[in-house]
Amino acid sequence: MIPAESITPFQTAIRLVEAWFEACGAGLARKLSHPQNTWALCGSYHPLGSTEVQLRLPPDFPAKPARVHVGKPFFLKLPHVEHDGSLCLPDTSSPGDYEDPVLAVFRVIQNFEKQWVPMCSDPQRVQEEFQKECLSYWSNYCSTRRQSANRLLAATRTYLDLAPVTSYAEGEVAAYVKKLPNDSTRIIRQIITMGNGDPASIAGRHGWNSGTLVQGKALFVSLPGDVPWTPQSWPQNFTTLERLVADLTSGEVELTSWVQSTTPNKEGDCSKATGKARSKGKHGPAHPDSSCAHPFVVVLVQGSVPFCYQITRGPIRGQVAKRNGFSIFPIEPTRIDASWSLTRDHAPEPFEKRQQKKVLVIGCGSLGSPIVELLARAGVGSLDIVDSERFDSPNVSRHVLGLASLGRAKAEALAARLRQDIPGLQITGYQARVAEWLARVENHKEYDLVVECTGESNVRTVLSQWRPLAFGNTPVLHAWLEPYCSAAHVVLTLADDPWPASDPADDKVNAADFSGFDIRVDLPACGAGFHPYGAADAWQGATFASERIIAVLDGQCPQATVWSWVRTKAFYDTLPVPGQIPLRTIVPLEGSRYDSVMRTRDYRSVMGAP
Amino acid sequence: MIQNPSKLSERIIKSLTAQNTTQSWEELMGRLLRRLELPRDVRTDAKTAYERLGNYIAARLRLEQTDVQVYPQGSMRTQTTIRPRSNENFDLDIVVELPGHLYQQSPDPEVMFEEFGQILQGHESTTGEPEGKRRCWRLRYPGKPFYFDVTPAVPDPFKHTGAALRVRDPDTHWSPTNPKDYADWFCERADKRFPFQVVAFDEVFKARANVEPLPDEEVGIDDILRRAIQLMKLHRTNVYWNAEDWRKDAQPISVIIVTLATHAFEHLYNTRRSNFTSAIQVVLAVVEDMPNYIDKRNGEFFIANPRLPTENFADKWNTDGGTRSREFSRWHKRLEEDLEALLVGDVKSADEARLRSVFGNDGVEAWRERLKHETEELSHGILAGLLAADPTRNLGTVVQSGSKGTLG
Repeated sequence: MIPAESITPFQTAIRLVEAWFEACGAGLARKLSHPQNTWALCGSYHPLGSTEVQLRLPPDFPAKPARVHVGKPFFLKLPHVEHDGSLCLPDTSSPGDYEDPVLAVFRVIQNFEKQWVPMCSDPQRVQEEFQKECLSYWSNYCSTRRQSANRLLAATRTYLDLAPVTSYAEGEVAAYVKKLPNDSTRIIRQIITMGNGDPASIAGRHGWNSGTLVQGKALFVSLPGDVPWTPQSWPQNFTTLERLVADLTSGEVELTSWVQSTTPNKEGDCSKATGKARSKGKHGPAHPDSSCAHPFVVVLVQGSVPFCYQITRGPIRGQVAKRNGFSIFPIEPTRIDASWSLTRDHAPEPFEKRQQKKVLVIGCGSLGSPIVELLARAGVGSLDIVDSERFDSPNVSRHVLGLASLGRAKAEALAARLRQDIPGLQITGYQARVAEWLARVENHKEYDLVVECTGESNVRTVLSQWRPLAFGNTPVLHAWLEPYCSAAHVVLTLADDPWPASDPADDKVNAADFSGFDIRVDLPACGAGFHPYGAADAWQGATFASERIIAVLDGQCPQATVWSWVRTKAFYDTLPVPGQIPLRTIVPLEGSRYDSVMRTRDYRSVMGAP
Repeated sequence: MIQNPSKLSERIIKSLTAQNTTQSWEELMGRLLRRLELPRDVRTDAKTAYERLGNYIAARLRLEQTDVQVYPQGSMRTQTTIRPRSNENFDLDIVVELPGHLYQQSPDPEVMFEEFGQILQGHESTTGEPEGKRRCWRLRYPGKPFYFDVTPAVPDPFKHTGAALRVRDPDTHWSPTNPKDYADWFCERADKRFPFQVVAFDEVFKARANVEPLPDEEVGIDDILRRAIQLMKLHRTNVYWNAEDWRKDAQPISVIIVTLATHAFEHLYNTRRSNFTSAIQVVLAVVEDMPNYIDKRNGEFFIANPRLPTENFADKWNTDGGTRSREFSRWHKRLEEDLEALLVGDVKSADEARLRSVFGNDGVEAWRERLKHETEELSHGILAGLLAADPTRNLGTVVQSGSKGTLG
């Protein structure tokens, strides 16, 4: 809390601007009594007619630049006008603005007078600007309509699972409806899929299923990139939308017929719309008098951007209901499909390949759990986790799970959490020891990669014994940390270069020999104890390993390889152990305790050394 | 009772005055013609190129550089160049005046012409392959926005024609010429200023003196005769653009347009200079008046070179069965009609198709530019005032921007 008598940097800046206008601004700008920190600009601007243009300093000026207000009537009429009538001009703020806030104001006025005004004087450029940022204008349009009297007709939230659409396709809607105090109903949330999954089960999976389920239909229509989508061109009533859909589908889809003939069935009919043939179908019209009509949504897809309309029955205020009583309401959906959620549609090709990958992760502890989470967020489509332990309270310090999972099997709890959080992810957690899990089902050859990160010698040995039988030619990757997280190693082994059953991790791979030291903190229980390090340490190892696991899955590492992340000798020198720890040559002798190296070594040369 | 139709210029001026559109049309024409002018950098570039060419020729002839004079003639000298359509290159006419002693024995002009062509050889990487024309050699200068028509000329030892020079002409053997004298005659007249121009300039100057410096860009039609000629040449080019070849060959040649227009301009200046109040009025009167300076001598058309009275620019008119004189009348009539159709309307609502047919694409572009300029003119910002109120603050200073390479 700032003491009352102190002047904040914002107040200082605003006062400087105020003082300047008072001293030099006569005839150029006139201070208004309301709103605060606002001046009327004494200029005249052709595109704005006789409108008074205002300059406003926000309370956090100059962190936020000064705003030019041209007034609400120009919203969606001239480009870059927000719904409140202010202009969204290119940000010209600079660190020097605190020192010279007057110049910051000048730059905003310069932008306005030299860029925006001339741009608005050219009708062709106005249209070009609208198209360039069409999503912003559409979004603004939707949000102002949401504040209108008719807002209850449209869903509060719309979630869309979008897939590429070439011409047009039919999809499913799962709407969750709540009764309002006045006995009317409102769609709280609707989930739309495009024939790639049941929207109700997606709603259940992500916890969006509160309320009464009503099923509906969606129509996806491809909007070619050269079709303009500006306030002057997008449909604002049912008739124009119907005409647009007919144009885009070469007359195959007539919206009225589609809505009247498409009655969603309980099984969720995902069949493709068959146009007029379907429109003459046997299904009767949905009942407008039912407690809540089935929702219909039209989704126009331009590239990766969807523009949606909710089709409602009955007139909307301000719109003349057409002969069938249909009206439209623009809605801005949130895309929830994996492609958008995990990549924003960027670099689709490697992502699609990752989505096809199936990985087994053995071990879900301080190293395994962040690895599983990182792989899931990287877009690996299918993950199985095997771990025998249940989540205990001290695990909180270095696991991705917390007390909400107390007592649950780590593998199952993590799978459940990621299933809820990551769209499209197929993930299963198995609470089992590796040996018994392998014995339960012998053939696991469908995996693209097995990742073992238990750090346990006997698990590596079990895998070596089972490998040909259980995994065939599937590569097996071992990852572990050394004590105190002094180093992390990732060993990619192939069928021809398997990990030896003798488990030579200490002798061949590790950077230090801790065998002469008792470094485990023992607990008063049989064989119980722990190694002291925190999540910050372990997760460095996890990210190091995950980066390489993803590279292996992306096909960038065809050879058996040993990757090591090793801290410097200075780090080892600070460890609380009596005497010198024997270090191997991979440990850098130079550098501070915070330095480290990452090395890539050929597996055969590492393992072949006597 | 049948009334004589009022004269073209009177009708148009009446309309311009009634609609108060004189100034906006003048501004449009000025804008258009400036677009069509030989740009300053091209002019400089061309000057360097022909000076180099002169040095090269002198060296080939083992002469002092001062013995070979190279200078522009035609539109480049009179400053009435127009950019050709479709972004073709500027056609620039150059005279190379060779020293008299080389040709004192009055050899065959064909020999002189051929020898000169050979001198031009050996420079093809810069000039391109020389291409012989009637009186000149064309050097295309690949990669440059212009080409030269280089006319070799030698002093006329007899000077019996009154011309200082003579050039090769395949039909007439030696042909007398005086490009410098003709250009001087033109420029003396073109540089005259009508009284209304002087007043207007003073007013502009006074009005702006205390506010801001005069703009770099000139406004409207300042150099009336030159602009009028450019306008006519542009119109001629557009009218004949799609014409049949025989008709194209018979289109009014530039020197005739320049000569007639200059006579008309001079006459207006000498007799009625105080009656005019706008450049457009003068342009229209020049257009209207120019056919009156086509002479008939012994039943033959005669348009004399004013500084070489024996030279008839219209001599071909007398041997082509009347084609060229008919084409002149046709073009001139069309020019009057087009100007009337265009100028009786408002600039803003001008018919784009007609604009294009008269003034080409550059005309349409200039028109669009002007419309945009007009809307901007109607905006009066405060930025200039703010900056003037506080000269310590300079928007030109480099704005220190924060770091852009830090992500979170």
